[in-house]
Amino acid sequence: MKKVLLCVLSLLAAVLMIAGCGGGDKKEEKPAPAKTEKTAAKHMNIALFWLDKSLEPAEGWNAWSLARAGASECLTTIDENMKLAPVLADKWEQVDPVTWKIHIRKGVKFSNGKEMTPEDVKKTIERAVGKDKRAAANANLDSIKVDGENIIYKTKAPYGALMYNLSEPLFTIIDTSKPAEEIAKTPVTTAPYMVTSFKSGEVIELKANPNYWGGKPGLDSITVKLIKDDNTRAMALQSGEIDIAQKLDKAGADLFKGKSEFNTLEVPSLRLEFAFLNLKHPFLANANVRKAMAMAVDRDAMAKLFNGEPCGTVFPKAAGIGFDKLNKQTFNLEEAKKLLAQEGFKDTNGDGVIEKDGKPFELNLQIFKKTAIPEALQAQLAKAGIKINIRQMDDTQKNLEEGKFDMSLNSYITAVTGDGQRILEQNFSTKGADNYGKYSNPEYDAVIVRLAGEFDAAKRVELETEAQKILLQDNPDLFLVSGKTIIVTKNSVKNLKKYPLDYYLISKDTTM
Amino acid sequence: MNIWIKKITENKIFCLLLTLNILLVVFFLFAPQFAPNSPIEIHADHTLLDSSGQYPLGTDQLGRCFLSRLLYGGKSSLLMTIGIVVFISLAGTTVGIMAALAGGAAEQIFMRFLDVVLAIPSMVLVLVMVSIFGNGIVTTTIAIMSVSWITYARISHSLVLEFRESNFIKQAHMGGVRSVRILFKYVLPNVFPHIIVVATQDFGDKLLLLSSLSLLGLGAQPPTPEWGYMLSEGKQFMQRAPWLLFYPGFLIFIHVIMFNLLGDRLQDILDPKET
Repeated sequence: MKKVLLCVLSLLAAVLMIAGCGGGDKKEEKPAPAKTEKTAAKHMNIALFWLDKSLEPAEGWNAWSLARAGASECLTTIDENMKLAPVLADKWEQVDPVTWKIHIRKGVKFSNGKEMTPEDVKKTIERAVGKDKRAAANANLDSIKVDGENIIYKTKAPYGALMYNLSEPLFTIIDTSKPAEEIAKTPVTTAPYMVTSFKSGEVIELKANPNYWGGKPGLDSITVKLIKDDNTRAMALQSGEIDIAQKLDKAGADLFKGKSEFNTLEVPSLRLEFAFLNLKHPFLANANVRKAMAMAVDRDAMAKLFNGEPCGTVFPKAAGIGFDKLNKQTFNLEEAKKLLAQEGFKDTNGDGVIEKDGKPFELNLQIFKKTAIPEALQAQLAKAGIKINIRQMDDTQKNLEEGKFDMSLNSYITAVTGDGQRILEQNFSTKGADNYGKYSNPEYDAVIVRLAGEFDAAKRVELETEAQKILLQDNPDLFLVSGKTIIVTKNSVKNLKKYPLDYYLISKDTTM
Repeated sequence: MNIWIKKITENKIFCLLLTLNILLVVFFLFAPQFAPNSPIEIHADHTLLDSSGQYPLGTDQLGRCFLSRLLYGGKSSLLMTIGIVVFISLAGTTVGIMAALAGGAAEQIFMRFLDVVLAIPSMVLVLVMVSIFGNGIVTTTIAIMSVSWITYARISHSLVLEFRESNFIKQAHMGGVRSVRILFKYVLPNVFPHIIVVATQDFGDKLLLLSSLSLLGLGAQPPTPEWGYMLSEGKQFMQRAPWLLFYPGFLIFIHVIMFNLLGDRLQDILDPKET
């Protein structure tokens, strides 16, 4: 009897504990919440899904956090319509294929009151190129000279993507006279907001830049914190602890549907979810096999599960790079099965998995994040007789670099700086840094070389479309879906722009 | 033997618990027959639905019938757990008895070796083995079995030790009774009930271990339904679809509690002096 009573009591306790867990994360105390009267201080709390350990702009992806917080400005930017726009460079012209004359805007001050000059631009870019490999690759820098109000920028080879690449927060213009430790914590920039304190990997405190050249910023101060877990971020917004929750998943976003106190912004993202294929695998080396696999994927169903858009090519529709003109990877299960049979695959032992030369068609799919996609892919390829084993790991990078994978799921922002060259070159050209599947097509490489030297924006799009055409014949990867970036805010937040590139968030006009 | 059967059948509560446990296990072993849909078929248009005629307990994030997954999951979880417990109790007991009867240096060395292995937390050992031999329900089950039999070896060894030195065994030896007969007529009947008690109580522990490993992504692999794995899938939908967390958790809870109660009751009956 006693034991039964104990059982019932523990059951009750468990139920009460679960009920109690339903509240928000109230562990940290916030600064005073924003008030609605105009005269009171406007403070905004934001939760990001990612925050780096350092704010050193010329290192890795650190500067993306700065950009999201409205604390980064570069020579150019990619606006909410994916167009290249001037910022600290107000005009530029090409003098010859390797020389650009870039005029630096006058009357711009750093947040510490110091005037921003072309000399600062030169120092920032040279510093970034010296510090970071990606910066060196993307700047294609031969030399920079200051010429009055301009800088004369010489590239190593004709480089049409230059002004696009310089928009990346990696090239945030900073006051380089500060020591490195200070730059890593409170970099001095020309942006609408300045960093007042930084707790590594946790929280950034910012306030409005009193010397901002573009007018008065819409907020007085901002707190940017890291909340990695989607659920926790959603709960923080529900409890009022934050005003903006960046990048919620569908389940999180559903919690705010129809609630008038919140605003949901859905922006088609430029992120492509796709599966690398290792062309060293005997089955995957066969182009028809890859084509059949691409046809076995039902992207519409996958898009519904992932809350995204089907994307049977490299660039999602929102990037505007030939999406409507191309014969994309499309679902056709019957054709896929026919093609596999034609290539000699048969299910000889009736276990639902096709074989060739005695080997079953079984592949390992490595993933680093659990989403709806791996299981959907598994189920769909199973219908064509292909068995997929899902292997989740913290870091797929090592296996990719060593070629120890069959398939690997990845998520890339495809037009990182509004331009497609980067991903086309690094993922698919023979010497590409991210070409882990070892795809090689000289015809494709030739198109990329022409693209690198092309300066006309329209012609660049044509070449990028042609490159995709070749990829859609060879199918080195399975292109799956593109996501949607969902940002949910309290309805007191105003003027938040819908940027397809998720490293932009706060702009000068954002207010509450 | 007859004494115990008499004791057991006299104890009404034990009979009730035993019946309930048997019903629970049998139900889930045959549960897939009752499943209304396929547990692994994905329906992109029916994700995270509440209960309905077609999906009695709703669907999960991939539109799979949740009830069917729970039923199939129960069968695989319970089969694995029963298999593990039966194997480790039989293997461990056999080894422990053999070590006790062998005696001498061999016994000492062997038992000290077991002591060393037992000092390491079993979860850590299992994790190490899984990281060497890979994920999957089969490797995880083998990993759990290979570390868990040791407990039974120690228990049976110490039980046999007790009897080995007792007078009636010595007398039986002197009277010319063969060792094997001593083993089956005297030793085993005294060891057996203790082992059954431990095994019954261990059932809950092994079910939890298997589910925890699946929760961590090391045990059952997608798309296999398994309660621990379903818990790890469900936690991201805690607010949106709390049933995805509640039902698998509740089922694990119920099974562990029921078997623990049964084991406790059995212990009261068979080992009253041990309480």
